[in-house]
Amino acid sequence: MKILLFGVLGCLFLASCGEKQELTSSETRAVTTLDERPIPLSPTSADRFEPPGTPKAESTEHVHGESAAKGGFTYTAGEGWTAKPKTQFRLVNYVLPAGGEIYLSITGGGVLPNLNRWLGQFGQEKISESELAQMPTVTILGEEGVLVEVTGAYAGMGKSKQDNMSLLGTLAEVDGQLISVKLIATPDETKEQKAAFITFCESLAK
Amino acid sequence: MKTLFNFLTSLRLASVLLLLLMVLTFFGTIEQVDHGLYATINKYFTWKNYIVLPDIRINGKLLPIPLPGAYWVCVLLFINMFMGGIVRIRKGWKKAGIIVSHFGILLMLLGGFVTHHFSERGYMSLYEGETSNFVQSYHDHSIEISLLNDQGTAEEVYVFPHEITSKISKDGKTPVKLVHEKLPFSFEASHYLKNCRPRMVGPIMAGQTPSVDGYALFAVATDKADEANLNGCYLKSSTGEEILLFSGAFTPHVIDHEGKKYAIALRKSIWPMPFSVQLDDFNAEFFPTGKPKKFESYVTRIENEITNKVKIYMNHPMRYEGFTFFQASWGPPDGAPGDKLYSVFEVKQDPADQWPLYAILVTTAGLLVHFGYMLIAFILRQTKKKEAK
Repeated sequence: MKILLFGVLGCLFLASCGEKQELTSSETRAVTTLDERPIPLSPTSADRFEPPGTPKAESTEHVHGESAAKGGFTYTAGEGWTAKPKTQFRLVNYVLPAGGEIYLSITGGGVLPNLNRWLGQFGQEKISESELAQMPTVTILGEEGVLVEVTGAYAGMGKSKQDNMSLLGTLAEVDGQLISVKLIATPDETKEQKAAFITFCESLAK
Repeated sequence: MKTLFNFLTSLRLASVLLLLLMVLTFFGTIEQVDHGLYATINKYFTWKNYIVLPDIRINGKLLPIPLPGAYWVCVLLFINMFMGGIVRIRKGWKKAGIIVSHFGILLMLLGGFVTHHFSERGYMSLYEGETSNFVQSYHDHSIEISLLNDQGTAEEVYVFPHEITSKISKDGKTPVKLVHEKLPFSFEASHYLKNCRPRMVGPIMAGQTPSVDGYALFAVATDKADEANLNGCYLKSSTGEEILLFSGAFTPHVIDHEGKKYAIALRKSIWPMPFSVQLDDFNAEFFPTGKPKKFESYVTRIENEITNKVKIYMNHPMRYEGFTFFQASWGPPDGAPGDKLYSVFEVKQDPADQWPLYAILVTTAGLLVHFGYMLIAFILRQTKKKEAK
């Protein structure tokens, strides 16, 4: 009898653990001037989350060597790159075939501080001015930009660490602005996209 | 019983309680610099905290100095002042002023209690020429479902208030079911984030919520200014639709159900007002150093087609039907003369709004009576002494 009782109680306990909590409301409120403003009846997520006036997403893949123009720049995009809408910090924004991303930004703060910030995102030690001077370069918008390539656990943009990721990036001071092009992908995809990355940087024009 | 009475009415207890309040206020003032005003007030002054641990650190290590919560110190102070300053004190003309002053301080404490439990604070933001009849909470969030007409405006609004949204789990393991008595569908809600941003996802870019239509919500560091945090969560409707709600969204999500359209939004909780406010003109002046000199808002209050022109500026709020409008701030942040500006009013509904003023007046009257009596008694004593000589 005791075993049966405990069994029933146990089943009830387990059943209540699995049940979702249900919260009921009967509250309504009066219509206000906020509600009198017409809203789009079929908004997309881009309509809801991107600032008004943001260009719509283009999912067209670019054939290798095809010129493209976005964010006030012209350039040659790589094969299989999928264009995404620009954001506040990404004037040119692409997703790569295997899920990596490449984007162009205009930022501030100097080449070395930004480079060290990137290295920090991959758990690498900071470098000095003298070490910066010895790094390889790539031509971008007529200037020599430092080229950095690093692999490690990537922790950026407020999200959790992702192991074994690679960064291929360049930073260059152009007409008083700091231009950055950053590619983040798996090591294999980074290796495959390196040539396209260099072509993208060298073809960049305003 | 007598011991308890003596303890509760003692001057020593009053001194300790006032000292504790001073210490708590000191630590709270220091702590709000790093943790924000809202979080610090909730920590030190909420009735739910019987003990508080001030954030005192030595070499990064927290020094555990437990102190009683300020709310309960004030409760005990109220009891002490009432029993000692009103009940126990010897009655007579000599003590009349002191008794009146104690009434004033008790009124101040009672006003604080009423404000803590029954007041509401929010804001109204208006561009010049704009009219509004609602206030939004600084901190509380509600999920609102609006039944739309063909023009895209709301005919009815159904609300899951803050008391419900605050119970939505932060992960996806224990979704809660949201049911509204007047809606033909329900939701499973989860992944409630205090501060987040919606971003596009890819195979290697994952947010803290499931992705919907290529977007997910990514958690970001909580801002110590609580009102700057943008909340978000994930919903799955009983109609099978997945929805990301974000309090900073530019427009609500819209679903179709049985030929009707419903807009779904996560918003700072809204209180409709019985009257409207139109911002006619806003002026901002600055000192040469760039510090604000004065802000003035010229508004028209509209109720049942009756209009009244009111000027709202610093330390001169508009009080009407239990609402108090304070000139709080303005924007846009980079606004310049000639730009279209908006004015932000802090709006308060507080039954004890003027009680601190009444309390100060009563206390002042009591002190004037007491010190006036002492002065007159002194002058009379001195006069008698001279006459005796």
